[in-house]
Amino acid sequence: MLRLALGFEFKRLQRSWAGALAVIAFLTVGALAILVGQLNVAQWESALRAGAEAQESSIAEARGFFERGEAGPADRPWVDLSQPRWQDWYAATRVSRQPGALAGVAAGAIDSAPAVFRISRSADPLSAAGYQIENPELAVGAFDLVIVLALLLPLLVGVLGLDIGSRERETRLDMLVAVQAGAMKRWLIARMLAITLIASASAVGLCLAASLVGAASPVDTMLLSIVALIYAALWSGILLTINAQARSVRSSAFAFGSIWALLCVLIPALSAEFALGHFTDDFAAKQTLEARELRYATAERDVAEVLPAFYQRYPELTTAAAALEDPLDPALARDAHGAIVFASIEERHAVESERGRQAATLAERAAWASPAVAIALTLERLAGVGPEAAASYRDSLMRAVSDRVDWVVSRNWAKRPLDLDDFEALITDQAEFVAPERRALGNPVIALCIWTSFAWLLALRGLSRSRTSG
Amino acid sequence: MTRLALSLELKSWIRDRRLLALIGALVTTLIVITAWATASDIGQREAQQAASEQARSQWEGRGAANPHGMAHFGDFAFRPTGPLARLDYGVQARLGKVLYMEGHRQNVPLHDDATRAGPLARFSRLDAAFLLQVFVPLMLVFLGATGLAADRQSGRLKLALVQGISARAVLFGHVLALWTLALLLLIVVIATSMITAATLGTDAIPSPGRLAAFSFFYGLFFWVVSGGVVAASVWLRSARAALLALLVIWVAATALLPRVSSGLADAVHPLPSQDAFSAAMQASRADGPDGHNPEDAELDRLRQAMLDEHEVKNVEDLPFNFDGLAMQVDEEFGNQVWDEHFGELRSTLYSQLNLVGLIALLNPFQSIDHLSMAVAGTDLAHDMAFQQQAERYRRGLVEALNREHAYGGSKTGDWSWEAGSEFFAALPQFQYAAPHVELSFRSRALEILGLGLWALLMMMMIRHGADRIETGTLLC
Repeated sequence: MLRLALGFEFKRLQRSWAGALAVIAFLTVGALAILVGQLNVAQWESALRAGAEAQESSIAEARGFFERGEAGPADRPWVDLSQPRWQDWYAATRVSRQPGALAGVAAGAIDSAPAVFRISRSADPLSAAGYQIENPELAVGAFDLVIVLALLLPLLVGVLGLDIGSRERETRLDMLVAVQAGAMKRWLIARMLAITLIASASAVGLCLAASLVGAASPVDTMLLSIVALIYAALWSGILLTINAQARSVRSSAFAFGSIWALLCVLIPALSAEFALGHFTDDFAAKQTLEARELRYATAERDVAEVLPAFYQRYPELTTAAAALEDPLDPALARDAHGAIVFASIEERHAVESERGRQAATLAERAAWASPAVAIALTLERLAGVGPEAAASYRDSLMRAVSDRVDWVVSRNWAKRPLDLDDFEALITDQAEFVAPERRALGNPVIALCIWTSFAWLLALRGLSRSRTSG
Repeated sequence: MTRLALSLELKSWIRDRRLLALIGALVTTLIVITAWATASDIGQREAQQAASEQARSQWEGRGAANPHGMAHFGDFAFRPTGPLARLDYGVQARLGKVLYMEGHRQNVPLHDDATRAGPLARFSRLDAAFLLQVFVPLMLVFLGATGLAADRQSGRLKLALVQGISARAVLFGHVLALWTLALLLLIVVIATSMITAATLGTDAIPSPGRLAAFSFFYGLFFWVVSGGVVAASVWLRSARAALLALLVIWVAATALLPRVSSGLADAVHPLPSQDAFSAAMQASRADGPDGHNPEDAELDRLRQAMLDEHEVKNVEDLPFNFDGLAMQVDEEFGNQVWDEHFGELRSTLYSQLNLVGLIALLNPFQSIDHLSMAVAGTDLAHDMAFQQQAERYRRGLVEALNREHAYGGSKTGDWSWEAGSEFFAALPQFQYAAPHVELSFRSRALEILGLGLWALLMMMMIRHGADRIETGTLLC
């Protein structure tokens, strides 16, 4: 019967301009979304190249000084490459964040992390903005494959299958089918499966295209396609549930439109409002006013006051050459003050990380309430972009900056002039990039599966109870 | 006669319990969301005020200090919410809220709400404007698409025509019924916001001019929607066809076109990446004088000119502090660089908006979205105004500090010299003044034109449809 229904639906698609137009529009909009996503990835990669070039240029300049036996540039006599702070500066090492193959799929995600970040002892990963400069008015209506799948795929399912069942009932064809085929229920399920197949084929086609242009691995491609398939099946289930009861196409359209507006627009908007509501009163005083106050207050403290905290962080330095000097070299007192300030940055980072985790948990909860949120979250995780990926990258940056601070401090306190070998070691020891992290798809994908199973169970139950289910 | 048709339509809604429930649900949602948004906006205003006061207290609390040290200490500008943000949040969640203003560089505002709110922030926010733009039209579609069909099916339309009532009167009665309902919902929104604000002890009407413009544009938009719904039900043969066509248009206009036009504008007028923008600016800046570099060649020439002018041999003998002058030269060169690069960036941003504005000519839903946030003061143009005012303030502040450094009584090289705390306290605090509402009209002329043309088009379609009903060429 599935083959019969499939043939029937294909013929209907050829004859009905509305259905064919809907499929063509869906594919066109999806193709545009893929193109926009690829443009974003190209910009990301360009930022990586610019960062790598800047790093190479700085390193080459420093190597030139070493080769010529110069301490630094002639017009900056205070620069001395035998000092750790200047080696730190000229190493200019970047930690870059490689875009995943599917990064373009979720190009509209909110992603606040930069593509490449310069590591130095004074760098603050918390103050680094994202790699994109966004036009806020365009960013609000983010356009990517995630949105095409989350919002438009259900509508495609709706346009193609709105009259399944209700049309038969309206025109009294249900009785005829029941008499002639003996199984109206099987006929309706077969028609809905045929619609699911057409909608899924369109969605999977877009997923394959996105995977192809991003050169995604077969596993990534398969996962992306499976998520799209599940989502198409979910909305087919919802539509079949409605159609099992609807007396007319109009009531079916009304019910489906209302459910789409509720699940794809209203609940996500309500969730967004709830999430954003937490931050409207927060003018980042901790990162701005309080951080500045602490920085200045620390700098004004006597070094003897801050040394205990410093040695607590670096117990091995109590026996370092500089520690044995009395009084302490004033240039090194800066390290002691800096350690306090850096500890506060780490503290703020921990707070921000915790806040990020809470926001992710809230999004996961919203995924149970709205399949549109669930698929958006799933695809962002698959693409390796979005707030979660950005937070993970910032964690890496924080560790890299922390290592660099430790390196500068330990070399400063050893009081040994550094040479080219130290410089080269500093460069090679630094991790160059953070690979895109494949996060566990976790709860959102489970939510999608449960939604789908529930929708189909309801649909089957509805069909069984229907008067003409056969 | 139009009044009679209007009254009949309104009565039919009141009698239908399902429709009444639908309207009741929407009214309740509007009241709850508007009250929430208004309270949230008022909370944000108070928090912004508190942050500004804390920043000022830190500034004045520094006491005596070196003026250039204070230029590095810097000041913060906290972006206030738009004058009517309680009705339309606009793009505020995407805008940085805190701008750090310091010597040597122009910064951009950071710490936007969206990046902190996690993955959910990619979806639209729920505020009164969102409901007025998306859900009120949807309700008008459901009410209007079936209204005229019911008149047709029951023969009421034919009866009216036979009795001498003009088709125009009947159709405009239907339009007016829908429009009246939409206006009542708008009034509910505004009244709820005013009552909430008054209850919380703040201005009930923060900006009367903007509120009037807000109401006018929504009135025009609802006229377009009401007219469009009735026109569709006149021109399409059945209520089902009208309903389906209107739903497709609603989805395309609210969900599809805005996103496609955003993607298109991004592709046609691409913005530089953050890194490319910063690198280009740094490269331009590196070509100029560096106030902190005593070996700088350009400053060397200036130093020599000053020595010659004052006929002294050492900078320490100059009657002013040359370092302050050098810092100002550094600053002024930097300002030219910022103007050039930020100017280009602004120009690209506006090119994108102009393109989207052109597309909005075709889509009244986009027109009202843009106009609504412009009038509410929560769009990009208002953010730009904030950034430009803050930058003007920064330049004035740094110039005053450099002048004090140069001519306040210190000698060149004396970095330990401190100006008195009263000098810093006398420097004015940054105050943002929202631009006049006229800016919104100028920046959104295309959208105003689009909405006006749509309103005329709808009137013409209904009149033409009515004429054809009377001549029998359209179904009666």
